[in-house]
Amino acid sequence: MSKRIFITGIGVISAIGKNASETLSSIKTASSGVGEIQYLQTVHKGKFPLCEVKYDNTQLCELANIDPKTRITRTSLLGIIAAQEAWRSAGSPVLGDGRTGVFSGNTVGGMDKTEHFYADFMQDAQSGDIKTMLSHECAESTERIADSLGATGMVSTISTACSSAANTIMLGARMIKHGLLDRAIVGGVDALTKFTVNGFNVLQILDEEYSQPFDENRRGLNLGEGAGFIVLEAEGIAKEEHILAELVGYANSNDAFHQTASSPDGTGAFLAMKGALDVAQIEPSQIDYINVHGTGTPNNDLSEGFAMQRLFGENIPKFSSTKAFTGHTLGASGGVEAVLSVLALQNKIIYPNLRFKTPIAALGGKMIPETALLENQDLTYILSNSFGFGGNTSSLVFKAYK
Amino acid sequence: MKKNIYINGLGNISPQETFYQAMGETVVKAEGAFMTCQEPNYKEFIQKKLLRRMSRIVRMGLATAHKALEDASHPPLDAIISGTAWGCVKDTEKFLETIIEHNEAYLTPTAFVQSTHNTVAGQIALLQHCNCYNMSYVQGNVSFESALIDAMLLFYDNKASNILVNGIDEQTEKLGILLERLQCAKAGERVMGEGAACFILGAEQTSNTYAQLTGATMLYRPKDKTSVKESIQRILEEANLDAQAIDLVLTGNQDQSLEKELCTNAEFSSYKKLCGEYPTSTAFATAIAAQLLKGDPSTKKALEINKKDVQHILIYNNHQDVNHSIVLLSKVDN
Repeated sequence: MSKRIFITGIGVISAIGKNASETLSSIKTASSGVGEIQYLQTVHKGKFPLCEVKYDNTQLCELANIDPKTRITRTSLLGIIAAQEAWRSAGSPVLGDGRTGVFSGNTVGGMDKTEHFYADFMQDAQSGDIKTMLSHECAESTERIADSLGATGMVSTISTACSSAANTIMLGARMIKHGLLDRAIVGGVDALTKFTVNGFNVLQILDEEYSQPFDENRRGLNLGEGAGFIVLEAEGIAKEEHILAELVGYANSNDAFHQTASSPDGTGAFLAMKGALDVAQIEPSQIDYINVHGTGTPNNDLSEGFAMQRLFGENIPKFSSTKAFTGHTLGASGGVEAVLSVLALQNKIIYPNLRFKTPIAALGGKMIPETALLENQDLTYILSNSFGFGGNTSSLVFKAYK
Repeated sequence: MKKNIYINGLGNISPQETFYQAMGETVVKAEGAFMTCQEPNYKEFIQKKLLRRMSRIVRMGLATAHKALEDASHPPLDAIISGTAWGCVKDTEKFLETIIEHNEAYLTPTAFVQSTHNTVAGQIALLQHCNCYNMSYVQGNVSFESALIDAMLLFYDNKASNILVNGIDEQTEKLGILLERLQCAKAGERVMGEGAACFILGAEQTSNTYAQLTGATMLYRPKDKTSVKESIQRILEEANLDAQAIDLVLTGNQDQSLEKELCTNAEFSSYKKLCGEYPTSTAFATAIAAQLLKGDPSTKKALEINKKDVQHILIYNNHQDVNHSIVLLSKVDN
């Protein structure tokens, strides 16, 4: 029989907190991270809100225990902070034996630095600090994270848009199942950049107000930034006292409908959720809560809603989108939401879908997310969805460790 | 668990004439610090109206996918896995330049949409109507190896019979300037290249099989030379081979002492003289190794191989002693 995969550590930083405990208390007090732009230098300041991590890079260096004079991207800093927290919460295992992999997802790598460099470069091709470009590639932050942990097993980076981090979790689990690794630190990170903000803006899917996922009157998404990592350990390696939850299901598929839009019937989303349940060998009725992708765009929520109806029929489990708290953290979102799923299982809570008012009529007016924090919930299985551009759709199933 | 995996189809765009035939009669040599691809007539595979909006990397990615699928007689795909380090450079530049030039105004979505690293894998899925597993790896010089290893795991899991895997990277004029400033590109010393190589891997051998993929691994910051050797030996052992069985090493390295110490019966050939230096160059090496194992004489000539019979090829690339890549291919009896 193949090995079970345990989650022994979690780490997260986002607009609602610099670690797991701050994140949890923000959610419990219904404090959303969305707000007016403070840190990103952009002409859009004041026009639409973002979910920024509330620290500048110098402060992030302090949190990451890195000399602020170091040449480092915001992406790497956020990643290091969350991955270090995950590693510490797993009991700070020694990672130098080549049996621990580090897999991270992101969408724009070190673009936050590149776009500054590029302004100089465009004036004069020989100007600008050329070493900036060494941190441009997506893989750079992953390697910085691995080095900060001293991990020497396999290191790789996935970029499948907003499903990037979910896919690294799946990869880590598969590697462990095959005995290629004993342990994997998996998740994702993305920092807000002008590049991304303008990209989503020109696609006209940003909400100028605070987003309302799964609401009839939703207008778009609020972009966020952050990082979320979890530590996966093989059965036999994981120490009983560190086990927080179990990863039992995962699947990846492609919507194959449009480069950026989701199919009206949610084919990719359906296949990902169904596939993850199949791997977990459970029935739809066994899912206790879905942390939906729920970006707040008209297209995603409708398509995801249809896919949920197709899979769960009349008996749709309790669900909510936590993106009303964190914003859409893109390549990090699967990691951030994996941490939230583990926290939900540990604390027996279900998160509120902030700002929801009216159910989506096209979904029959019946799909109502949870709007208040639910406590003392008997949770066994949580499904977490991450869907992205390029048709990439992934779902994960987490199980309580009892 | 472990299973035989075969290369049953391929498409290869490189600085050499490798698209319409295995290898051109005349080997193209580097002039200056860059080698650029010899591209096919894309209109043969991609609709004109789509073609207009596509950057070179997307065109190369789709054309090689088309070719590889045709070559393998169009098996149904169970996964599409892409490897690219630089991603869609041209569209990234385009969008970034407009942001800076017009102070975040007058933007159009096309360049942004096509700038994401998963564009090619997504487009292949779209054009092939494939809802299957879809992944894009962006791990610098082991992006292609990451994709290969993922594919191998899917075969081992019985999740796939046929998988499309590629390694793609494009050069642009601007990237060229940056690479020269970083002293990565230097005429006569370090020639930078580009390329797109696409493979159809299958669990069953076919009449078109090029070679067997007998092993692949990647190492991150190995602690010393010995641990690299041990990893190569482990891959060989898993394939029931020893180092003496290697007939040819396609090496990407300046310093070839490690591979020469290990593979004492092998010939050595530096494949980068044909394609230049770029992060997914090992995909090009895999393509020419596959052609060679299938018996293509022009590839053998281009690589200046003397051995009559080549049974096992080791591809080894060491990038700055950070990322090491090892791919093992073996001849099959047709």
